[in-house]
Amino acid sequence: MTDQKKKKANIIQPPNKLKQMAGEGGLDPQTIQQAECALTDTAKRNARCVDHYIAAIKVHLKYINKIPTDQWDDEMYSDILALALDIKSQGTLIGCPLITQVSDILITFMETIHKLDPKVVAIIEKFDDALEQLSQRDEHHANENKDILEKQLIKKLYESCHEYMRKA
Amino acid sequence: MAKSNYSFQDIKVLIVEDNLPMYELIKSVIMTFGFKKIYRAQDGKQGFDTFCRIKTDLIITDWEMKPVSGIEMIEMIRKNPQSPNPFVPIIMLSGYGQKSHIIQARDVGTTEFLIKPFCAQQLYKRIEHIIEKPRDFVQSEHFFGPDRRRHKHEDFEGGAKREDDVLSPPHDDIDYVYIDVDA
Repeated sequence: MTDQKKKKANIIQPPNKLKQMAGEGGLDPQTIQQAECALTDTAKRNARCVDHYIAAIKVHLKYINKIPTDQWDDEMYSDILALALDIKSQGTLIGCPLITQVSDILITFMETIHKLDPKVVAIIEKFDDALEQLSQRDEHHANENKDILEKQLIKKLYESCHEYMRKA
Repeated sequence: MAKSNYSFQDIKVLIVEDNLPMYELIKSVIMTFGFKKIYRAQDGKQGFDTFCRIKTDLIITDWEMKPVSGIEMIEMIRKNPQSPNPFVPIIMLSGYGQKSHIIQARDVGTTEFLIKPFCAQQLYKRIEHIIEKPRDFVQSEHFFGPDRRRHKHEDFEGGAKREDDVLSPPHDDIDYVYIDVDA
């Protein structure tokens, strides 16, 4: 007979302190609706932060392009990823879900490749330019063919990622 | 009769978020819910220190922060002997949406996971879930945190795997079982 070690797990039921403090009843739909409004208002007040994050990616890329590729490190990669996450978080909230969608594609791509190389940097540049366009376009609401152009833009971005993955 | 609301004013909430606009978003939502005692930390290390000092009742945290991430902080809260309450409910609010991240968050002891961008209703649902359907904690050699088996399927007829599960007691009175596999 094999001497198999038994897996033991203790189940603990911690006291439900939050229930004791919050009591009964839940929140009424009106309060939740007010919270939705508070969220939208705060997001709109901070809407220009997205531009700041998009610009920050540009600054990072400019710096990265200036130094030799053998000096590129994980921190540079994670700094850009963190900015993309910030952009994604705010796009929908400021009324531009496409910014969230595009940054999400960038995040998925970066999580797949895990590190920077010149081709990846070029792709990130494409994404950043697209995000910049979207951010500005949303401000002016000015294009009749908006939907078609947006679809084309997303298609192009996907294609650059797929192209890279195919060659990798 | 009018339905009474939860009373959140005495509940201490810690928001661990390095991004100021995002912190303000979360704060604006939970203040509207009725939370009054709100504390902020800007990374996992500061978050753990603030939690040890204030002993907050609920934590809402981001994932990506420097120098210490939200995930590392959750590990500290659940496993560090200095942690004042390893059972504290923790909501992870992150831009990461891939399944692998959600599993990673779950495996370090996250209570609830919410993907950014979020809406107030989603955040409220997570808080309500923690209050109304709290999960037991599991302590084993490799894991400490809320039970990762969230759903109990009423129609599940298989055997229980855990030693202390009492759902399927051994059937001493059965000598053999006949199963017709072609049926």
